[in-house]
Amino acid sequence: MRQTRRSRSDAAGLFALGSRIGPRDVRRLFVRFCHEVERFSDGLEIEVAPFELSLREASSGFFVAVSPLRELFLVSIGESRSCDVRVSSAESFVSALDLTLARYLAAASKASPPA
Amino acid sequence: MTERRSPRTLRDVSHLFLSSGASAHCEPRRGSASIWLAVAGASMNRAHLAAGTATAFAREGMCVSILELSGSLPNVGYYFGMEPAGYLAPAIDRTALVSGTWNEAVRYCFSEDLASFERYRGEALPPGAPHALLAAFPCPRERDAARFLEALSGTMSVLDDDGLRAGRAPDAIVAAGCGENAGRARAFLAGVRDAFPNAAVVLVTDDPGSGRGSEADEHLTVPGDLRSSWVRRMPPAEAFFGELAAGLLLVVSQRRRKAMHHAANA
Repeated sequence: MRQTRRSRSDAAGLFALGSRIGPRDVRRLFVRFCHEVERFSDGLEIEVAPFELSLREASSGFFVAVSPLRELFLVSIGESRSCDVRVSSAESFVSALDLTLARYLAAASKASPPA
Repeated sequence: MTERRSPRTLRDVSHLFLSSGASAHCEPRRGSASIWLAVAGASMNRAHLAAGTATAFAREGMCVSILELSGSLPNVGYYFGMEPAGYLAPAIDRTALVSGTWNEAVRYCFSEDLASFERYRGEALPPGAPHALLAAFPCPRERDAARFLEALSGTMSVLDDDGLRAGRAPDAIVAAGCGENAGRARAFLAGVRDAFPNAAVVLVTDDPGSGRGSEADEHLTVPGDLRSSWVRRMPPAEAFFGELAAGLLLVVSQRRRKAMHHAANA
């Protein structure tokens, strides 16, 4: 069953999704990553599906999907999912978050400000 | 409340503020002003606003210290060109305190945790240059605002370079919010007007009409294209920031002159 919300992400749903990841430190990074991206904008729509969490902003066209796997999580940026970053450490977390932030700011720069 | 009608540059007004107040008998002290930037919601980019305002001051010969309570990304580290591992450190450890400098005129620090700023020991500032102390933070929730603002007043002492380490009330408070957050920014200003009656208050929104009837001494309208520099990893240099910095110096200097006049006549 898919769950769609327009408000802040449901912590329980996020933790449940993250529990697929075995290593505790990577699970923690997964939760941190989702929380950080969620705070980029007030207009992000969050959708929790059985195997991934996606964040989308309609006004800018920004989209990112985060998929927990057994030992890591996968960050796919853009609707076409042309850019994937595998996160299993603090270093890859930083790369993924930096790239996601840059993509968000690029999208927001071109979008009209919210009315 | 003053609605900005004609462009004013920082150069036009900096002479009003930049006197140090030194006398012949004591060590000259640099002139300084404490300015708080409160940003409502994420539709106005807090770090972009802080970095742009700071560099507008720096371009006119001032030195600037920024303390940013970074509730969400980006933070000022992004705009001052920090490596990702540096500016993203608070995303891994909420208590991380990150600091740096830009062009020797701006020093900055940011953290998600107000208590962490007690650990900040900033680099020495250029001697003699007037000093702007800038605090940037998300607008606090109404029920937390009084306690937060009191704590911030005390924390700002870490930016003072006079060694006194005393708490410091703001000389000016800017509340910024776009779209539906403009109302929150106005409400915040109404609250701080009571809490800090001596501070000048400035409202920044994207709606030219939203300043009407507000508590603000000045209202500035954000240009629609300000977002175009959000993505660049360098301090923004749009004319808007020079206007904001000039407006701040003007209202602060006017209030100081008025206070001095009252004191002289008392």
